[in-house]
Amino acid sequence: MRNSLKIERAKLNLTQQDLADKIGVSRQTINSIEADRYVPSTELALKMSKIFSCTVNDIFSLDEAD
Amino acid sequence: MKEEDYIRVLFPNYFKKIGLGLIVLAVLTAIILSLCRFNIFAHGNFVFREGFFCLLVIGMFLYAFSKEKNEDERLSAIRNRVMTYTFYVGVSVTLTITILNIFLKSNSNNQGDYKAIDLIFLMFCFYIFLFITEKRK
Repeated sequence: MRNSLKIERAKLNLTQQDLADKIGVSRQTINSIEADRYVPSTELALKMSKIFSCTVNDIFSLDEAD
Repeated sequence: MKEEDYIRVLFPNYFKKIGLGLIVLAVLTAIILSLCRFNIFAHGNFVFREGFFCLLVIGMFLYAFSKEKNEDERLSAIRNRVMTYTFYVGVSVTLTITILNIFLKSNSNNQGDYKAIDLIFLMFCFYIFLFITEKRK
């Protein structure tokens, strides 16, 4: 699973902590998602898509290996 | 964010400090007693030994199962994974000691000092160590 969270965050000029506060998780969780160490739940993915005003598919996409 | 079921079963965050306090108390008591040349692990000092381990295990229990300041779904996933590994360790250690006892032909009344509280202590040590390590990744 790949994601463009870092890019989307940069577009809105949000820090990891800002995004974490907006969706109610820790900064480490955002960091883990960006580093592909953790795949978020549907609920969290939907919250992110709402913040970035895009679809979940725009942020997350499947790898060829998935 | 609504409080999920997995978070609701954990103790509040301040229990972590209480747990840590109990662990420190148990360790300090053991150190002070050993400085006074009193060995709590000696055979005759059953009450002190069991008391030490009880205090330690209660402290570790509160420390391990209280919420982090920012408990979220990632920490829940880590808890689940760490709990599984801890269970594997518990089963492995119990089976290893049992099999060793069979080969060493010990009878059930003479299984050394291995007791349930020792196993729980070992499992909590492993759980806390692994949880802290995984959390920091």
